[in-house]
Amino acid sequence: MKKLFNVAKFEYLKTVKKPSFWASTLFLPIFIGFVSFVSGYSSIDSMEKMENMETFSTIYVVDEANILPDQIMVSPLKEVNTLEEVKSEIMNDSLKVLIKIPSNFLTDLKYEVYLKQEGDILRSANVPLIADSLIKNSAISTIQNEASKVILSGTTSSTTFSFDKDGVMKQEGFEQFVLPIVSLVVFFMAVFISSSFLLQSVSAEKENRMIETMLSIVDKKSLMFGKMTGLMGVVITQLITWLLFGIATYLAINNYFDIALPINFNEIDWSALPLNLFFIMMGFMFFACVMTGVGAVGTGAEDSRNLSSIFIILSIFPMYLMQMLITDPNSLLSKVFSYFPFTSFMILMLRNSIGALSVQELIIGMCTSVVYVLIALYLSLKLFELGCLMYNRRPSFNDIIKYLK
Amino acid sequence: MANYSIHVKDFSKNFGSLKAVDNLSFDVNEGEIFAFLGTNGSGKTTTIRCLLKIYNPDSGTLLINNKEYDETLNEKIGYLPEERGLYKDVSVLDILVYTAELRGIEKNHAVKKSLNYLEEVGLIAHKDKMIAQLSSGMQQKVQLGTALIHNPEILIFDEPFKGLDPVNRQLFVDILLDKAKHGTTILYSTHVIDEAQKMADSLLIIKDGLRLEYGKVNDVRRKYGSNNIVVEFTGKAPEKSNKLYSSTLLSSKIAEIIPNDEKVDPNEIIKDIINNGTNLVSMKLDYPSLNQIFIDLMKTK
Repeated sequence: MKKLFNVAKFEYLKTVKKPSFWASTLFLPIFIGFVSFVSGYSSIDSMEKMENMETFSTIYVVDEANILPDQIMVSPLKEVNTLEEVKSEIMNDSLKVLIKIPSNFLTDLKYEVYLKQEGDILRSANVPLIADSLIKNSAISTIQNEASKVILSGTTSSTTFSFDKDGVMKQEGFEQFVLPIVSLVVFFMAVFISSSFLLQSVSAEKENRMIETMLSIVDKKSLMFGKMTGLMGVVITQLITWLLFGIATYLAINNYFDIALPINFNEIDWSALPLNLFFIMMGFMFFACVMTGVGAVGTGAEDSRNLSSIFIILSIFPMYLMQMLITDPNSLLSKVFSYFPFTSFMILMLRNSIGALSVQELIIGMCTSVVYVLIALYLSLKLFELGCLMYNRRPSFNDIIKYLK
Repeated sequence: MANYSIHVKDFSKNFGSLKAVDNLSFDVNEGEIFAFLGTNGSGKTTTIRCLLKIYNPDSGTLLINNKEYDETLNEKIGYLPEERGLYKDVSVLDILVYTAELRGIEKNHAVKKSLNYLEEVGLIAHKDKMIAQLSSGMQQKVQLGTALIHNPEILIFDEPFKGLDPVNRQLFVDILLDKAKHGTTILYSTHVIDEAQKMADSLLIIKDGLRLEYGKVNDVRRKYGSNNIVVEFTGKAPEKSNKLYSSTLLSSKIAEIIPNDEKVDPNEIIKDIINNGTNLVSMKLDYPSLNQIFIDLMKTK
């Protein structure tokens, strides 16, 4: 046990002592924050631009259907009778466009836009928005009923209230998505980042020939579990760093900009958390075993990385089912993939987060998870024994079968 | 049994259809230097790995200090594998302290011992450098440190001289001899037969997993040599023939003495030659070198 702890401590310190670890740990949230900011800002900026008619010097309108009232024809809008009247202007000036509402508009609701080629793409996309807005507002302006005007001019939204088993009513909000999202993030962190650390650690140890020295001092199980424990610690360190980083950023923004987070932390239901942690831990153990086995049979770090890709693809497969998992968590496909080794941990965790697992399914899911982990553990130990000292070649499938026999 | 540091009896190991080691037996006495000789693929590394339970033997008994290898022996054994290397992205001091701690040494003591070792091998100025920043020779010294840092009773070295330049090889030899002088038992496999002849007390030669020779170095050499003695002299030549020996002149100053009986003690013969008035300048037993024995064995068996 002491050796396991020593290995875990060494693996942990070896990783967190590296400046590159902190660079990547701190860079990731900064990068995500920066990308979110740029994406959000550019989206708002482009929406503002798109809704602004002032980006054009003149918007000519040919209203053959006669649906636009005269009073809205103010600059930069200008009514003309035909395209030919202003065609040369439009051809030579990208700031001038023409919207033509044909006489049969009310039968197919189609209109035409004319503008100069090679103009600004954003500005080109803007014209239909302006036209839509013009047509919609023109139609609304003819309605006499004020209530109808308000309804058609705005966008509706809802507030959901639910009753629990004791009849207590509460308002549903974004809070219900917090646990599934946080669990998913932690799952990805624990399973993919940590197991990739493990793959790197085992394959590098084999590649740089340190492994035999280690095996002469530490038994295989202590070495394997020590590495797993140490690298799990690395992931926890990353999670805590990001959490602190997030809190610090929130507090800083809150102090300067007075932005309130639209989440009431008291309303979050944490009851699914223990089982989520169980599935995260099982998932981590399973993929850690897979990566250890892959690291041991690969001829080096690069070979192991290539070998691991097939398992990584299998493991991220549930992401493709995400929409179905959320909209119909009890579909046949969701249930089938809940018991397939490489997908079960993430799907069971997500279904548990949204309360879609029956007690019976939960028990079966927990049992299969434990069985999968035990099988993975056995196989990875065997692969580790077989492959860790096989330096110049990868064991063949036959080698593995013979060894397992 | 009590005097054996290492006891191997009827040990066999197969890898699939390949018989790596076949019914091998040998003992390494406490405090002796034991050379384990054989060509590549002869089963030396497999034997060492089974001894340390890195591999599991198929059959036989492999004991260190009268028991099968387990974690408690870790603190008494220093192992240098043939395929050796170190973590490239860890500092020199950290790696020594880590291996020392794994062998049960308390951290402060491990740091102290590591610094002492680095001082001894001239690497103290590099203690905070990453392994990747060191030259190959320096890395070998650090590697040796991981096997010696806990001052083990038994050293098991697999091809310790592999990849070493002459200076570092001599350093390794000096360290091993020094350890042996202080009572450490040393089992090492090697291709450097000349070095083994100089260093080792006992030897084992294997080929294709089979034992070809085993015993004290001089006994093995004697076995493959004649009992003849070549003497260099001045003045009167040794007698041509008497009750102990007959002699043949190889030159005017060198004669080959051939004992009449295998049981005749060479010391008796030398005394007799001197008593008969011959001035001896030098003498040597006509034993082949270990290298020659090794080559002949590999060719013939």
